Amino acid sequence: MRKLQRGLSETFRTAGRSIVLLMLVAAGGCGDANSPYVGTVRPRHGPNELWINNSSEPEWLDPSRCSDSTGGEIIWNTFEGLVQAHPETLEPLPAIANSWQVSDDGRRYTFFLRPSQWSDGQPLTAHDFVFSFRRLVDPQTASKYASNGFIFTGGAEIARGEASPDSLGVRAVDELTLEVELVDPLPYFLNFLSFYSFMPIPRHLLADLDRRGIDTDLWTRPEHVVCNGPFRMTEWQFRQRMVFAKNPRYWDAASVKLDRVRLAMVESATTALNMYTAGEFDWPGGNTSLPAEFLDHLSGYQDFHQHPYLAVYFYWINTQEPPLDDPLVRRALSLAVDREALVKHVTRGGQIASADLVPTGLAGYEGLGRPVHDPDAARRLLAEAGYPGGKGLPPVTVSFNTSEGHRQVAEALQAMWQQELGIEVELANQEWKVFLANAEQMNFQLCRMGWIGDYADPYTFLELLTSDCGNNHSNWSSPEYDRLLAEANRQADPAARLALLRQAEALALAEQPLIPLYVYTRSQLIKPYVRGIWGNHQDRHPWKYIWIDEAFAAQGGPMPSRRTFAPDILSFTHSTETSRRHPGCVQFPTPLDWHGPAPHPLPSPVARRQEMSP
Amino acid sequence: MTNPATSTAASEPRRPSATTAADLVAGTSLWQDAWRRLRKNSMAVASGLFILLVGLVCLVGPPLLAATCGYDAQTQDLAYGPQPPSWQHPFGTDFYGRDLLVRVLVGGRVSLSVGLLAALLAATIGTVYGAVASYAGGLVDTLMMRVVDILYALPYMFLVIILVTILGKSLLLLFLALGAVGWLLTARVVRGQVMSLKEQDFVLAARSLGTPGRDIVLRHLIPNTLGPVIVTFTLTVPAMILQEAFLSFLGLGVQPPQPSLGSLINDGANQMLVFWWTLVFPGGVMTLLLFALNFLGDGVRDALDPRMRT
Repeated sequence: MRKLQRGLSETFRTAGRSIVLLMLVAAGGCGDANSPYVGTVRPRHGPNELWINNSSEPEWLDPSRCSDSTGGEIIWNTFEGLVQAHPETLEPLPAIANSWQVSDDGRRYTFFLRPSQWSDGQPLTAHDFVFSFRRLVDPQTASKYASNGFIFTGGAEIARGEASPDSLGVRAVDELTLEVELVDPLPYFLNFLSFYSFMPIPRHLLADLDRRGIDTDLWTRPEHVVCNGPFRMTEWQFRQRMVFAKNPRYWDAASVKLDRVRLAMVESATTALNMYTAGEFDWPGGNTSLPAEFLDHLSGYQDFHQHPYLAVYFYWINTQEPPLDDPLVRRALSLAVDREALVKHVTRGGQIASADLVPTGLAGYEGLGRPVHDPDAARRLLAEAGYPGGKGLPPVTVSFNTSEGHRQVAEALQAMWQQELGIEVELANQEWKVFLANAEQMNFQLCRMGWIGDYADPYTFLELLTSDCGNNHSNWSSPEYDRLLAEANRQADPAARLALLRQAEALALAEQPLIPLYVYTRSQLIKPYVRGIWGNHQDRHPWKYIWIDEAFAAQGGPMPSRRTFAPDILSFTHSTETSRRHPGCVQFPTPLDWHGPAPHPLPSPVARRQEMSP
Repeated sequence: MTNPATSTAASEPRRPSATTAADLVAGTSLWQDAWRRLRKNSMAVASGLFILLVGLVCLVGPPLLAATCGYDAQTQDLAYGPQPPSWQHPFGTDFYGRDLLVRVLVGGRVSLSVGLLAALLAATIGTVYGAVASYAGGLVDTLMMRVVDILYALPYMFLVIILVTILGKSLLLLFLALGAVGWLLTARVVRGQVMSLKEQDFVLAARSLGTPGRDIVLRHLIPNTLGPVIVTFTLTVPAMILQEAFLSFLGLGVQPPQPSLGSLINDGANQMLVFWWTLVFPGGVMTLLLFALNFLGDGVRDALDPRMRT
């Protein structure tokens, strides 16, 4: 999933707002200098309400089309797929599918659905899933994430227009039984199935809109939308906010504690921080990062949390665009970047410098460990390419989406390339949707991107460079690379599979179609009265489990005892117990229950797993 | 003569201002008078000197600092990072370890030159436009001034942002965009001025001698409107600097790594709670500069105002 990190205000509105908020903060937000928390600890809203930030307007809210984290956050909380991810371990738990069966060769799954309803009262059936999966790979949908559907037999052929969508290996046996056939026995299939691309689509709504002559692309608007998840959108003020209300027809509505969620669209990280301080946000949310300059200062507060994050930050290179069509120039650019200095002095959040595409420490996978900085080699490569000392090299442009954080990284890289290689670099910042459109049309030379692992397996990162991946924005492809990945997925032996994946990664990075910079970490502020958020490596925090501790909120004082987290958790460690069940799964060494016990017990994977066997 | 300011002009139309004061030997001309009054205004004189000083320092400071201390506005030292003010770095260093003093000076250079050039462009367009509209009169005047009214009704910054977005983000285009939108006030002032001038005897005289319309506008009317134009100009410069700062604050102005006062203030505003000096110094310089420019503008206006004559 594409990662939007943090945003910078580009409008009068936000600029004005930040000034007002700064005044607010100065006036009383930080009144108590000895408070262990940042800003106010009394909620500004009624009970059972949550105010968070989404940073930017999402590009799509349609599960088949969305491919970025701003839309993902909303889809995950308004739809529910066959399985859901455990909020802490991300293990697959039964959701709309009550139980399932796997064939011996691991390629055929049969899901038994629980009877459930759409938010308009229509019954949800296996046909809705069939419709959705076909729609995902249908070339008419033009989904950037169509490649997610290539795991089903026939998916890739359908996307290429060689077969009809009806031939997809997904079948409704009856109203509540779904049969799925996979191309390869993917070890991560069930983990992956909780991803938002695999949510059901209300086909009855689309048919109805079509009949009434309304553009079916508008089906996700609040006046039309029908969903099956814990929340439903009730209000959407463009570039202002979205409001969500609890969906009473959700199958597990009894577990949902919040009545209302307000999602703001504040791009600036500094503004978001000020709004958090003033109590306008209970939690800046998954798509907002904290401004790097503040991290040292904020880490002393008790509502500050940091956890590792299975995501890489990198720069795409448009490999057709001179002078970047020369692999020597691309490798020189990569080697000239001082990644250690970048994470230590610019991003400042304990990120891990990495020149590899697959994050270091992903369980079972031996990373390439490519050099993170070698300016001498970079200069040599550039001279070899015919540009000694950068002479004769035309200026290159770096595009990034509007945000302080991306600008800081871009400015640092600009100076590194200028100082080490003598390359002139221009910066272009663009609004998120414009930026995505330009990336898609290959209308850039270098552009920044972040990629969140959709499941804990190297394949989720390596797939980015395959020739038919809609999110491959490098113009680079290699039949040999595609072959290695396909072969790896056919491998039953996990070790041999990972070795093939590693070989593919080495092959691709030798050509440097992208410049990996670092592995993300997440630093967050969460008001102490917000409970039911767990740290996990995909930074997925379902609103379903979140609740407001009214007792704490009313008292407004510090909590009696709290855990603080040592920085040594900032590495992906690997729990043998989990990886045996789900090879390649990344886990935390200790559970991060950030806010004490939940009001209801968390779904227990062990207890539910017995239900699974039919 | 109803207007004492034009008493000399009526008998002998003046040539452009720079030469006028030197040419008229006898008596005190308007310009000598204005200069004398301006000198008496200590606030304006101090402001003028301050602006000259800042301009000079901005001009010679960066190369001097580069030569003596090796500081330049663009070379980063990430490991050094943001350091509070010290004797070594009087303004401290920024997030990327660059000396802030050099950056403020280079930024001041950019801001001052954008302000002056944009104001000059605005004054030129406005003067010519206003004079032509007024001299032509009738339907042409009505049409031209309605265009000004329409542009006036549109939010000014909005137009500049559209122009910058369409034209691209370069320093040259930035001042073109600011100047191209900022001439409206000058046009109105000049038009009003010319309205009263063109009915006066010296214009009639010029016309009866067969002077072509173009020459009347350029040689007789425009030079006589210079007083108000200079006043508008001096007050436009700080406005333009502020606009440039605002655009850079929004990320539409000067592009990194090049600093301008506006972009420095934007960086500083984001970090002010942790690195206060990154906001205080660029903000302080900007504030003082704007005050000085406005005091000077006020002084010039008072000096050129005939009613202030004792």
